[in-house]
Amino acid sequence: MFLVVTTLAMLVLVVFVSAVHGYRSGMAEAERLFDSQLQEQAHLATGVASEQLATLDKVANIAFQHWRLAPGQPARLLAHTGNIPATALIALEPGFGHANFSGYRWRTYVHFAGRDDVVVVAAARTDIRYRLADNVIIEAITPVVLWLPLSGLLVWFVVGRGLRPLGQLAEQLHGKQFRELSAVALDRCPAELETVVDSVNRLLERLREAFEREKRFVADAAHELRTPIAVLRVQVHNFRERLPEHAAELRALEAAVERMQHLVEQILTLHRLSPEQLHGRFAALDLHALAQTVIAACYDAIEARRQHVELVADTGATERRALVAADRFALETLVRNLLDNAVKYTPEGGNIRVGVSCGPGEVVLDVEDDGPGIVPAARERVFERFHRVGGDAHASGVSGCGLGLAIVRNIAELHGARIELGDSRFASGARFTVVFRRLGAIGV
Amino acid sequence: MLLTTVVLVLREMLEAALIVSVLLAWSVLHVRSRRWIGAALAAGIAGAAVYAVNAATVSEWFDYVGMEVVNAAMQFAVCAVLLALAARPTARAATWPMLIAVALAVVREGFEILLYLSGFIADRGAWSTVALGSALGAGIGISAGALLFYLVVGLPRARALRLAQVLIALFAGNMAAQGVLLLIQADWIPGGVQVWNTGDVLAEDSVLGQLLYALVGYEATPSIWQVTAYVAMFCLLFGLFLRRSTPADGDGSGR
Amino acid sequence: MRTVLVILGSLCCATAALAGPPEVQLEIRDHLFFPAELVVPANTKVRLLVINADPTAEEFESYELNREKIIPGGRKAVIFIGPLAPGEYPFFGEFFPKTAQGKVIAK
Repeated sequence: MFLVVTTLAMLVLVVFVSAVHGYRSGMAEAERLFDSQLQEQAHLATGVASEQLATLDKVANIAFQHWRLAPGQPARLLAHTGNIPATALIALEPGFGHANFSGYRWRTYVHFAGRDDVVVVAAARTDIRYRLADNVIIEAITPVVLWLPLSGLLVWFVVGRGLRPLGQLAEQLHGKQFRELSAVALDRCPAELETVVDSVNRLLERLREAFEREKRFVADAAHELRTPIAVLRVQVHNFRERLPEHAAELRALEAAVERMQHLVEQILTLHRLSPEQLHGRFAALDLHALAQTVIAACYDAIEARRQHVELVADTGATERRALVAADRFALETLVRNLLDNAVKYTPEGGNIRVGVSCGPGEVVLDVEDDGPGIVPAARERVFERFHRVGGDAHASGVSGCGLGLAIVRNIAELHGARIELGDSRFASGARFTVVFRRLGAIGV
Repeated sequence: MLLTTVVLVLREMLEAALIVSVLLAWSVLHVRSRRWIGAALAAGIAGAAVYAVNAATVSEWFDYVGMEVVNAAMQFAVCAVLLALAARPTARAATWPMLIAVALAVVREGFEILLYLSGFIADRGAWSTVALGSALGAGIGISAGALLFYLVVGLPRARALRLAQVLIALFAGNMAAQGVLLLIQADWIPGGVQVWNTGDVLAEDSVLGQLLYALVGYEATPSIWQVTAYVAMFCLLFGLFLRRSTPADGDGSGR
Repeated sequence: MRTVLVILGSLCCATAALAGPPEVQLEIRDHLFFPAELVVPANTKVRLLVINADPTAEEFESYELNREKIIPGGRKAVIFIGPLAPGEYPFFGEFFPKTAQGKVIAK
């Protein structure tokens, strides 16, 4: 915008000022031309007999007077054309001047003939002179002005085109999906931008490698830990059978190993959900049915804490199915983690409510509990990896690895869904809301 | 006729365009909405049309000096709203002074262009020339305004603000001096002595003279009262800016 | 400030009514000034009554006199000029400057 406007303004300024300048010098030149013409006519008129002069008035835009100068007497008018009054209009001094008569302004020239003391006054109408000159010069200037809008369009087009690769680059960078670090490519890369694009691509490449390394390292480590942990668990179990007198210590040890195993499983889940692996497996899933399955699978744990769980479906008046495009494993993990979270933080005998509803173009999953809830200041951080509300000294005394909600957010992002965290409808407690895009075309 | 049209349209256009662009830059520098400019221009053009239609009547007020009085009142009104702007430059309501100042400037300058153009309604043969002249004049005027706008906006913020303040104070001084001149012309205040005569050095009708007239209100033969009004208004406004802008700038950099 | 000006203005009007500066007439016809040369007394304020006989508006303008005033078509207007030092002060009609030319001669 800045570039287009300033370029255009400069262009207009230069072209128009030079057009006006051209007009002025053209006018001055025309004036000189007309003046010398008037001078010539005055010279010619000297030879015209006084009687003939009176008949010359058909030439409306030129007027003549013949005067005779006699020393010591006032000047006497000998003859004049019909379009000029028979009075003295200007001082009889040789040279150019101006006079107003017959309703016009005239350019005058006084010529001393040098014989018989005759003085010729020639006058030409200025309006006609200006109109003639005007017409000629305007013919020359008009195209310049008329072509200007076209050159304006050209400037706009050229600047716009010249800047398009930049806009494209910005758009590509802006549109980069989460963890999507493929190289940017422009349709047509001007030399000025080549370095920028190269640097950006090198940077993206390094970033991707770093991510890749980190991911592989963590996944490998987790994978490598799986077997020893499984072995450890079996060994602890065996020890407990064999050494009943140490049952209490060994149960604590077993719980710790179990927690470690859970952590490793979660880490593996987190890293298994890379976009490349996921997108190919998307299918149309009914979120309501899926939530039912997950609740059924978790029922033992809920029962153990004597909690009350309900699944409420509000699919609207049109009986639409809550269909979303998702990977089954990922979506199950999301619902399970949210449910696990609710179970974990709701006191024994508490309430959990899972809601699936259909809004316009979206499917909303709510998981609410009547646990302690999460204060607004802490809400942003709960989705961070290894973050636990209140640190390890958790009020509920519940153990966890702090990865569950990070996985939830990860899955939501991979499905283009957004997560909101608020207060539940119970007296206390948190509400997690995941809003998916509704799959409208299928199954309606 | 072409040159006449160009000079006339350009003179009026340039004056209005410079005020518009500086006030627009001012609102950009204070990160405020620019939407008021549309309303101000529309109001100004409508006002100019109303004034042009009633020019004959207004002209005969106050014993045939009505136009001087009305124009002077408009100039002083612009001064007043610019003072209001300077007194509270960062206030939310600062859009109003800018809107009024631009609208009045457009009325004042647009009215003259409209009266001039109305003389050619009957003269079909002159239309193309007058249209060409108007296009040239308006093109140059608007381009100059646009360049000034980007010049001010493109500077570092502190310097841009200072430049805008100086320009606004200059415009206000110019307005006050013009208002005083109009009242002298109407014989409402005495003429006073001529302070200087620089007509030989820099004629008012030269290109540079015209540009300086539009930008800083250059006069080749000013009266003592014009100079007094100019200097007083400039100092008053600039003083207000200086007093007001120091805490406002500190506040701005702190954010 | 404006009140002060108005008071000053009315004072001047009062004095003007008493003394009454000499009046000079100038007519605009066919985009020409009649008379094209106005003779006014030097060092005196003069009330210039401009009668625009044309149907179109005209702007009386003079850089030397420092005056600028629009006269709508078919109307009269008053311009106060001076006091002027003896000399010539050209003026022109800004709307039709090719034809509307004239000068004030202060004697």
